[in-house]
Amino acid sequence: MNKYDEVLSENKFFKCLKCDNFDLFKEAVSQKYLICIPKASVTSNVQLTTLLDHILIPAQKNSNNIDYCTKNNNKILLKEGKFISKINLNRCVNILFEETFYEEELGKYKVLCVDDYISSLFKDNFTPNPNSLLDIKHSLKNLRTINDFISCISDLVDDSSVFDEFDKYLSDILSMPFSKANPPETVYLRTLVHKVLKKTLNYVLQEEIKLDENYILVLTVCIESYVLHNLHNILFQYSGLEMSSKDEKLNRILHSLKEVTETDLNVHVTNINCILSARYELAAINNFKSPFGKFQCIKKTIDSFKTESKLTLDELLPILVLTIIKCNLSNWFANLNFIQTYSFTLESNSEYSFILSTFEAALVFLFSEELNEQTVSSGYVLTSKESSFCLDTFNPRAHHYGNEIIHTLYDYIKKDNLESVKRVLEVTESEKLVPKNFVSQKYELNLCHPLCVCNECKQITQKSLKSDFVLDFNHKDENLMTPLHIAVWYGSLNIVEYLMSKNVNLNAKNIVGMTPLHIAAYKGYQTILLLLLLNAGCDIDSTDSTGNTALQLTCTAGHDSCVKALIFYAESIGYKFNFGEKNINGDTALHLASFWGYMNIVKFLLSQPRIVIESIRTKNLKNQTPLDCAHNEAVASLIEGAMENAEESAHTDLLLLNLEERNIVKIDPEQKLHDEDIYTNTYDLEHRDTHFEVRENSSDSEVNNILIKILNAIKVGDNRLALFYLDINVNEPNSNESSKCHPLCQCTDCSNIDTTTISVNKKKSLINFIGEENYGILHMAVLKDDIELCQILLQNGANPQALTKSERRSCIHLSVQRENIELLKLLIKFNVDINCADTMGNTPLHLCCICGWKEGVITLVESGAEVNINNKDGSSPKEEADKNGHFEIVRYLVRKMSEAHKKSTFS
Amino acid sequence: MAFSNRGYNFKVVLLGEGCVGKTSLVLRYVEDKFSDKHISTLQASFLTKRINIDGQRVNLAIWDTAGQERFHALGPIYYRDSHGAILVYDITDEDSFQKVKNWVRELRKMLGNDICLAIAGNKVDLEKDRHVSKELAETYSEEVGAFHCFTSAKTDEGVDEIFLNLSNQMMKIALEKSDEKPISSSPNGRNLQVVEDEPQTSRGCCG
Repeated sequence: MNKYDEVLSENKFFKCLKCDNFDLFKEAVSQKYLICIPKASVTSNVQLTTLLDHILIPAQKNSNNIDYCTKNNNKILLKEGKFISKINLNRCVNILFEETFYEEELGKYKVLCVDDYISSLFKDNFTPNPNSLLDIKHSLKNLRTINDFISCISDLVDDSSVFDEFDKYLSDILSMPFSKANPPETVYLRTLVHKVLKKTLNYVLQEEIKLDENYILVLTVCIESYVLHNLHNILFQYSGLEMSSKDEKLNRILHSLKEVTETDLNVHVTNINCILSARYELAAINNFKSPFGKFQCIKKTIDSFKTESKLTLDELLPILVLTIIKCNLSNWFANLNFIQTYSFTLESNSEYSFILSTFEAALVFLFSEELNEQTVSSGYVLTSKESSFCLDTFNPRAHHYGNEIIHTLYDYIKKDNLESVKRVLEVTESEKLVPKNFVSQKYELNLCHPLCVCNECKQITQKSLKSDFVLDFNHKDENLMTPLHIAVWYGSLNIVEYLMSKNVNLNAKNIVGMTPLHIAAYKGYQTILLLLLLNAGCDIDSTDSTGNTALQLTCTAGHDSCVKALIFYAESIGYKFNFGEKNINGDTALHLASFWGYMNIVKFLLSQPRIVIESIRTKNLKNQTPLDCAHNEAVASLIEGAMENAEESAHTDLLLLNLEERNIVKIDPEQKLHDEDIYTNTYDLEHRDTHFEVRENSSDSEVNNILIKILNAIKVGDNRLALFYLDINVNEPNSNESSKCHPLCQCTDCSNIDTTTISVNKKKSLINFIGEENYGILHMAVLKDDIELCQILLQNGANPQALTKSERRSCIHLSVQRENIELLKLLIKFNVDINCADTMGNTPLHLCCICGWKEGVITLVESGAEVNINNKDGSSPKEEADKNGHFEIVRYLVRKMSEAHKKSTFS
Repeated sequence: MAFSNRGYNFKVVLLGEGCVGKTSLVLRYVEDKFSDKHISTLQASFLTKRINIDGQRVNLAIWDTAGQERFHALGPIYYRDSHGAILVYDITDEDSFQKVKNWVRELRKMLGNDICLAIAGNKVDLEKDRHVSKELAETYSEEVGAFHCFTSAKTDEGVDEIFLNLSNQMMKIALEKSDEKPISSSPNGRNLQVVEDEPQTSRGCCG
């Protein structure tokens, strides 16, 4: 993209050839020889022999390379944009660009600009151009991630303070108080960003940088990307908000197109891997936070199609469309808007705009819903040729006929042609009553030969087959779809009604575990949905193979009307929906609606009083609450509003709550859930199920009671009471062993001490006891930020490695959660395992990076915390910091990692 | 920004029905290649070419488009901001010439006279199967103010000519435009090229 460019008419070498050696030049042009010109920066004084080496006479053309002979009779060949000497194959000169000249007197001729003298290929002391190595590293092609940008900037600018300077400019925008209610206009934001960019660029470029123009372009792109990467969290949020309704509509369309295949789009792919790898590339678009990074992601996607050699340009758009459908992302227009709005340097670059236009065209095409009508026309297809219901395994034609009749049936269903469907089904149904011995009948048929397939015989067999093929109302095809499934699939209301009247199995599951109700919910047929529920009492609660209920499916596909229908129906029959129901990804209905950005559904769900209790704080397998996966600000603020309301009402309950009471009083399950929620509110730690189980099964109730008393005491700040329960005397120096004459002494005085220590130790075992409550005493002390108490506890044998019950976090995790540096240092002093991971695989360093606590990061890293460790999401601490927008930390870690790398390479 | 100190930068878009040989035409022009088979044309969807006409440097960015009818509505995304368009038809296919007429109508309606048009009657190597009359095509082109040329990507006939002529036209228009407006501070690599005075507000899908 950043191709080398220079004005050739000003090139010394070219001038020398054209003006001083016009005859030679004229000959070259008239003979259509190739003219090569070394780039301006390498040309010095030119000799005639050198000139002659730059006039190339074509000699031979092979498939991949062309042989040339220079005017000086040296032989070279052209291969993949490089000139290679025939004598020494390791030497090469690269072609930078080609320019075609049209001149009145001379006509047309071609000139190649190359990066070094061609004659250097034949010299003995050949030194490769030192710039070419740098070129590869800093070519725009290879820049993608924030690491690339940072390292590129630090390579090109010899001043480590630039980043601090950048951050100063950035803080202008970062510290701006943008109101949520009244979002700033995009134009305004763009101007702001532009101003900051100008400042940063002026700062870097004011210093005399001796770089050629291409490096300046790379540097500009890098700085721009760095700045926008850091502003991403603010800007992208507004892009998302601006595009929210478009994305919402697109998401509905994308869900309705889930079953589209490459044949529907007329794409002929011989190698399905190319779509898979393209999807892999494109699905990562949200990991890139700068417009340029996102652009590179799209470009890589398109490039990966190029590996499929049979694809033509006409298929580029369809295949991109297909990749987008299969990506399962929710914010395409937000991404497009973000890239388009915040591209500055490359805005007018033609390749950049070509790729963006292609991407835009694919989105607009999907958005236009043109594809929708077409897929409906192709509709549900029987995919495999083998069928499970084969009547006669000996006769493939029977099978064939079976498929044929099913296809006709499906065709009638699709057209909602009730009479024809009746005819097909009832005829076969009535004939089913008279079983026939097919095999014997076959021999009775008057065929030329039992296996004959001539036209006459064919007709005879077909006739007999027709009367023999049995298709019942609950017939299942190879996808385990019954006629009812198909009727719902096509939204053929009359047929659904008819089939229901025939007492078909309403809860039959197809191959992916979907019942007809699921299909109606996913496809958004409200009338059919209600028909299935009201008249037939379908199982509203059944789940498909991905653990989705009808409610979750319709929340995924974005059908407001079906969500309402489901909930109102449940209300009318007094059924209580479990809104906390999770699918295999741990997502509840609210998660799904929030993720795909369906405003109306989110609004409606939040208006259900129980959802706030059951779902709003639930975390999915990615550890996200519905708020965390909100598609855009508008959705997020809806959820936040609901949470605030819930907290207010919860607060009053909290005052009445007492830990001991909770332990004694038996509570009904509804109440339990409620209490538990408040509990998690207070400590920001939660785990519902294990917590209850443990409480009910706990045997050591006495110890537990004391523990709860101690925890309670610490909670209200009564450390003395807590220590009293623990039997720790703070004033007396703890001296178990030192007071003995000798560690193994058996004298009477010493044995006295021994017995008391034992009893004390018994009590002290409490110190590390983690009962029904989630945490032990030390944990509570850490959570209360009580350093003094922590110190006492640790000195008295509290185990600093103890883990909390639910999330398996150590004290050091908790100290990070509290962002308490003193505590953290204290714990490190006590030799705790600094790299221990919790249930999510997060080390304390991960947590620091997630919440952006820089001081903690530094302390941990300097105490030797492992930087290259991944959590269960596969993210390193650095990536977590990046995800959460803590760029100072990212930079710190990048620096530390490169230092470590340097050290290891030096040693 | 059609003109910078490095020369003119023009965007040229190729339009026309599928299978009329748009891609072959570009590949012949830029890479001097031709293949009878349907070759990997994804590579050719975007190509650049540098030319120098009597000392004036011109950078052509050539955008090839899909010919399928179902994508017709996406045309504006491709041809917006174009300086020139080459409309290709197959001389053996009457329909493809009708398509060219549709494109001309649409382009003139959307972009007015700012866009330079050239019409290429491709596949003249198949002269014996000609279905579009020479006179008809030429008079039509003259009517709509487009340069007409018979081309063959196979024999390399007229390919250079049509691009050269279009480039000359585009330079003429660019000159006229720069006469009307005084040239703003010349953009170069050191400055960001941002239009500050008139930030584009509508950056929607079909701008």
